[in-house]
Amino acid sequence: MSGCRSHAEQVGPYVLGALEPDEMDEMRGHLAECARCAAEVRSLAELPALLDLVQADAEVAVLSPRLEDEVLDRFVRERARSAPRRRRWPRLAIPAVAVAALLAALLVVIVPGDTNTAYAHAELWSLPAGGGAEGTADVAKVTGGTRVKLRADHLPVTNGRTYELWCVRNDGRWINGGRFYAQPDGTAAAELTARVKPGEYHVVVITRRSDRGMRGAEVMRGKLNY
Amino acid sequence: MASSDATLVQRLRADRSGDELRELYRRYAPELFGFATSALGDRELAEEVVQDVFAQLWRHANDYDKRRASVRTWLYAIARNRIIDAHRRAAVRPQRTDDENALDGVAEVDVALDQAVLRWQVTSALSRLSSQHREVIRLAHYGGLTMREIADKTGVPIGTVKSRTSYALRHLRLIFDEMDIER
Repeated sequence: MSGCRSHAEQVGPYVLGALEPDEMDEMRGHLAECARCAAEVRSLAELPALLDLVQADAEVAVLSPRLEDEVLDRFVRERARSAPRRRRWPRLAIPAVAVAALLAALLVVIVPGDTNTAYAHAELWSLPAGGGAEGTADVAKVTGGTRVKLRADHLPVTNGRTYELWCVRNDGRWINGGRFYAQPDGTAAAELTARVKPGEYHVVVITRRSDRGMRGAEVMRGKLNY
Repeated sequence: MASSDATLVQRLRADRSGDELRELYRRYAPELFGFATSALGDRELAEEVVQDVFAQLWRHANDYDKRRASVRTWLYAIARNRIIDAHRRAAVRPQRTDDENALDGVAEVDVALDQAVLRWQVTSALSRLSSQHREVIRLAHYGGLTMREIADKTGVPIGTVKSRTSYALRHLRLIFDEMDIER
């Protein structure tokens, strides 16, 4: 406050023009004589113009917590892509590797099971909003997260073709794996990376795209078999 | 002790965990989002801008020179460019006629973006006032009521309404000073 005992409380209302007409006149007379109040008025004088920049009911736009996950997921995906390539193997090692790979391939044929990349698989089943969609998700480990190879058929395409992959962690938290787009015929194939460690989640969910911070309707869901 | 912004950016290139990026995001994403929302009038576009700003941040972390600008200034410069890009993309789509804050031509972009920053700062400053202080400003400035009318409307003694109004403006002035706002 201005420190002026008689008119300190009038300064704010005067700056906003919210005194009665006779009080405004009286305050103007006072300001001609009181340096303290005059200085206080000057320091506040620009506020009405600043307040005019916004509406009375303007609210601070609040960030969706989901966006932080999306930014970090994108970071992880780019990091995974830009990770240094493995050192070239010495030339002499190549034949040995080729023999080993051939033996491994034979073993895979003889003993059916997981490939050396996918370590978990889920059949995705349609939920009411899915309209009969179906699909699969194969999960592989990558630097900083897991990569989900997604295949889907019969996705609804009448109200938009943008979908999102979510990995539901064991603690209940939903981790966004990014967006993908269905073809006009309802099929989709995508590889998405989620910032969640192997074994940290057992449920994969496909939703419609999020809107205004709200997750879209669930379309498909499946449980990973590790 | 918290790491400085510049230190976090320096560590970003070697960051595999995402911890440095997360810290920078938590420091700056809310205000960048407020700025972008204010400039674009569209929450979804503003989210895309924020995502792009942080993608640029980690891709070009090596280019950052703290002698040239603060991290905050750098991030705002990136956001400004992304908003202009978003505006250009929107320009080829049918115009929204209901958004008076939408950018209106490249020549006016800089002025419009400065106004967008200012709008976000004013909104943010108002949100930091107590509800009583916000209320007197709302009634007096936006509602056009005099002190006497506010006292009648709220049942609060007129002397209290007057002093509350003066304190509210004084507090607002201090918040603006902290934000380094002036016209």
